[in-house]
Amino acid sequence: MPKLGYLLPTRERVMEGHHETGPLLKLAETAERLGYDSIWVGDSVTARPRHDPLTLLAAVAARTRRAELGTAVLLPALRNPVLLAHQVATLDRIAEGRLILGIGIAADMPAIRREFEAMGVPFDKRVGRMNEAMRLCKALWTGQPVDWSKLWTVKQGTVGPTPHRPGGPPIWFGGGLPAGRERTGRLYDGWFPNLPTPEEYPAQIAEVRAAAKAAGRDPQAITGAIYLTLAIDDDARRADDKINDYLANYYGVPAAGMRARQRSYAGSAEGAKAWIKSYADAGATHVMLRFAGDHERHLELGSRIKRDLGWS
Amino acid sequence: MPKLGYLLPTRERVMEGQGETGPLLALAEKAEGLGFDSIWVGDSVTAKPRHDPLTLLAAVAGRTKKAELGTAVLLPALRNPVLLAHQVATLDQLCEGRLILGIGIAADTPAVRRDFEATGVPFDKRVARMNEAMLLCRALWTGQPVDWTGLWTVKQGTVGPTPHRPGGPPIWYGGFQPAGRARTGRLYDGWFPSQPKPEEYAAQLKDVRSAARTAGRDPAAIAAAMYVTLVIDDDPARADATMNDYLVRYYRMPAAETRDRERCFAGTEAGAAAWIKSYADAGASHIMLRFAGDIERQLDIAARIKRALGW
Repeated sequence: MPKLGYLLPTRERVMEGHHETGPLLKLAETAERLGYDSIWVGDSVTARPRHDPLTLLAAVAARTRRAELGTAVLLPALRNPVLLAHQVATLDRIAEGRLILGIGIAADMPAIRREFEAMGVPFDKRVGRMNEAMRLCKALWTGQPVDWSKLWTVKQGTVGPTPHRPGGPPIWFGGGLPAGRERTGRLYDGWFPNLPTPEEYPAQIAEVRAAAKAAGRDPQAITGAIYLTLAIDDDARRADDKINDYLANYYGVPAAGMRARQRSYAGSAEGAKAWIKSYADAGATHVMLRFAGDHERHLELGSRIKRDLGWS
Repeated sequence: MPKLGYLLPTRERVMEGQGETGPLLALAEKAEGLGFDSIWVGDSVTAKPRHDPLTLLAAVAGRTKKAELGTAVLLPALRNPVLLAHQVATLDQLCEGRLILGIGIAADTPAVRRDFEATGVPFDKRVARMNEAMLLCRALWTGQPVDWTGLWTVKQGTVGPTPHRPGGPPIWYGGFQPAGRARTGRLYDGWFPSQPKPEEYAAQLKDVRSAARTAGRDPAAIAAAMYVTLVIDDDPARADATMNDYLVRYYRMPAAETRDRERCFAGTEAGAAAWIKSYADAGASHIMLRFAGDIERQLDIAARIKRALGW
């Protein structure tokens, strides 16, 4: 049965000047009660400010029992991998193995370059940096003393507790381009793009799985996920206005550009259901929903769609 | 009224091979239920491994309502200050302003030098690094765009939410030597040592407050805290043995050396009550207890001491 996830609106709340976390924790509890399979939090430090995802997810973990918890997506290149391994291991303990580490590289824009500068990390070769960081995390998650000398130097290092799951949480990569698909199959545990249309999804996930096979990994062990944005409204024009407003506001660029780059849906609940199902039919087993505003109502609608699809 | 705090045994549990956080969260809930004023978590990355304090405190924040939550003590020099400001601000929102940021510099040991190497931070000038890091955190906590050119470079940077408390959580410094006392008075909001004896505390606190006055700050606004380790047992010989055993395992050096450096008490409940009170009489307004040996029983005893002292 495909799983349905929900992204907490951390960026949106900070943009609105609502910095409190109480309402976000309530939304997480509501989502779990409504039967969502997973709860997600995005990442950005200075480029598009929001709550720190690992810190917030630790509190969500303490307030939920069943839902998986994930980052959508974390930017590991911004963080020291030893500290990251340490925090993620503690978080996975708090979540008792419910953690999914969605990771990505940020787009190349001036705000992101300033973010790397503020974090004291070179922007160049950030993909290589991310890959090595995740390898170092995995080495530390074994609990065995680690010796490492490449971008980082570790001598007989171990960090805090090991993660709840032996070897650490599954790592899903958000790469939507061919190189990203190949990298996912070669190195990671799940594919978590926001780019492919339902029509494109099967061929692209086939590439991910082929890369896994070529790397001597089990292609079927790789999770096929998708990150989607929705405005559900029976008035189609109003739905369209909402998503355009939302995207323009969120990214500070014209909505049309974003709608070309990320998959989004604006329309009726019936249409949303068919669209979500089309990704499952295309091979996605975990569909994460980001709602353009109006969270309580959208959460209810999403949960009804889930029941109607028989995904619960 | 002096406040009484409790340190969660994160290092101890990891040493025992118990990485689960459920029992730690249950201890935090128990401490709050017993009326402890604050719950604390220590820090170390690879030198003396334990849970990440900011992540664990976020979960404690999600499970408690009233107790203050603090780091005892965090090593800011190991972390990028922009990311630290970001995480601390999120944590302070989660606990709705109950956070106290205890900070320190680690002792110069080979393991701590490896900690700095692994986190990619030069060990030299770590005090200045900590001080600049905290200044940068405070600048980011205003919520105003920050331009910074020093050890770090920030251009019109803002991070996520601002902390719940305007300006951010109070920062307590654990430094105990004369320079550390002066630094506390000059820069920080509380003094949080583990070294002074009750009879030394008053004079040392005076150094902190006079440094504050010299820096044009309100000396009375600086919190006076104390980090102590206890074994409470009616059999004094057994208490002593438990303490020594605990310190040897924790620090991997002779217990006598640690007991010379950090204030520890091993003995009866009445003795513990008198000893804790002696710090309050010396001017401490917040006393944090670290227990060696069995925790549940000693939490109950300490809660009884707190009531008996009228705190």
